[in-house]
Amino acid sequence: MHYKTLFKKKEFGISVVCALLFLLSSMFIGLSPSYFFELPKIVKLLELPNLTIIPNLVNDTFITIAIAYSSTFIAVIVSLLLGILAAKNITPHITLYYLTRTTIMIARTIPDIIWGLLLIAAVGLGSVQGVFAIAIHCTGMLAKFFAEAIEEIDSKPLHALEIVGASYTQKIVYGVIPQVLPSYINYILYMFDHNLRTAIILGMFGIGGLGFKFLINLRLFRYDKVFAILLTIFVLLFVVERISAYLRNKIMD
Amino acid sequence: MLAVMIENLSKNFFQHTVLDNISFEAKKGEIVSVIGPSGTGKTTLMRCIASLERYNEGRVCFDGNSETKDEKRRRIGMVFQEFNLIPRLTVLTNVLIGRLGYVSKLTSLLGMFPYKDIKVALNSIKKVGLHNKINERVSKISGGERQRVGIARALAQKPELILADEPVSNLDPKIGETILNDFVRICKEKELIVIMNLHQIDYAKRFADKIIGLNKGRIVFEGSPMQLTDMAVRRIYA
Repeated sequence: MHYKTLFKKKEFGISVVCALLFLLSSMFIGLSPSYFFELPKIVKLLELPNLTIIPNLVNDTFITIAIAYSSTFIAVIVSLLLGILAAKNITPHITLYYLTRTTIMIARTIPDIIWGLLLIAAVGLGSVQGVFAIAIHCTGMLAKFFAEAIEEIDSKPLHALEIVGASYTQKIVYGVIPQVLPSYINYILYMFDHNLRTAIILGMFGIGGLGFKFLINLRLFRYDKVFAILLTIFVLLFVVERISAYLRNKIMD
Repeated sequence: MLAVMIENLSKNFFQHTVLDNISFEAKKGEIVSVIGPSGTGKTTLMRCIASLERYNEGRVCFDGNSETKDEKRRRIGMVFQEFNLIPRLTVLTNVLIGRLGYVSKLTSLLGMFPYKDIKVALNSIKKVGLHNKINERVSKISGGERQRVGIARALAQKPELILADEPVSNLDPKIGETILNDFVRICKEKELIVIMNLHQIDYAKRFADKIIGLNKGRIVFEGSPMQLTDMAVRRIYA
């Protein structure tokens, strides 16, 4: 029987290359098929979560939330300004545009964990270190999102503002902000969610909160407590996501 | 009597001449309509008069006075083809934007406007017949109502000259006609100078006191609606 393939040679070639790269990577790091069969062993760790420690986690949960909230808040305030400077269509000066774009690019490309480690020298180890580490990275992301939202606005209302003799700041308040507000709020909610996860991970590097408790108990092989903490993290992230979704819907109409 | 004078206005875009030595005058209470084929520089002319765009030669002035761009701008209101409103803001806020040139910069940034300016805005809204939609978001009202908001915003500016760039060509003809009718009536009442681009010749004939025919950036006709014969129309659209 004769077959004719519908796929192009190029598509076939790309698939082969991807598969080969995977094989190469596996060999390089020693990933063999047998590991896949060992994955179910994780079930052996499973223990009933020790719910009695939950009351002791309340404080850590609040620390994690507070770190995520303060860092998002600082990032939003800074990004509101940087976003304007980094938007090509409304930046006061093109030099400022390039300067800001570079700054936020650096803030963004260096991961928050590395910012955290670098910041130890300045603010020491602890929650404050976490707040700034997350805030710097988050500013890099948010300012970029904000600038891009501004670059996409409809410029026609700005012409109308120009003709009434509005100043630069008036143009921003009445012409730009109302147009970008919904997407700004969307990005802020997204970043808060993201920062909450980062705050948990950074917790393991000494900034406190749920992540820190998780690491301690993992090292003590107290899996009953580990699972109680994981349960708390799950509930926290779930609740925050629901609240975000609710707020998002509210804003859209 | 107050008049706006456009004197020897020329604009080049690289080698290309967009406006070639345009001169005309519009007096208080007069409606001047600019007609001509599309791409002939009608919109550019508006934007030059509004000093939204630079021109190479000539000047635009009120009664021969030389004023700065900002001083002149306050005296000029504009109604746009695509309304140029901010959909998320209410009718009232959009109209209040017309007052931005008059109010204190700082308080306006906090969203605060003096009562007397709010009153001016409310009066303009009433004039265009939208008093029952004051707090409605612009995104929730119809196209015709949006242009009424656009007109109210221009009126709130208390201008002496209103520039209207194809004010009804984005609207259903029937609604467009009613709006144009109201717009012209209000401007006559307030004795404003109106310079209006139109692409419907019959509207120009009905509503204008003076018609200017533009072709390839040059004035090829200037006269009353009576003088705009079929021959003249053919010359403009040649």
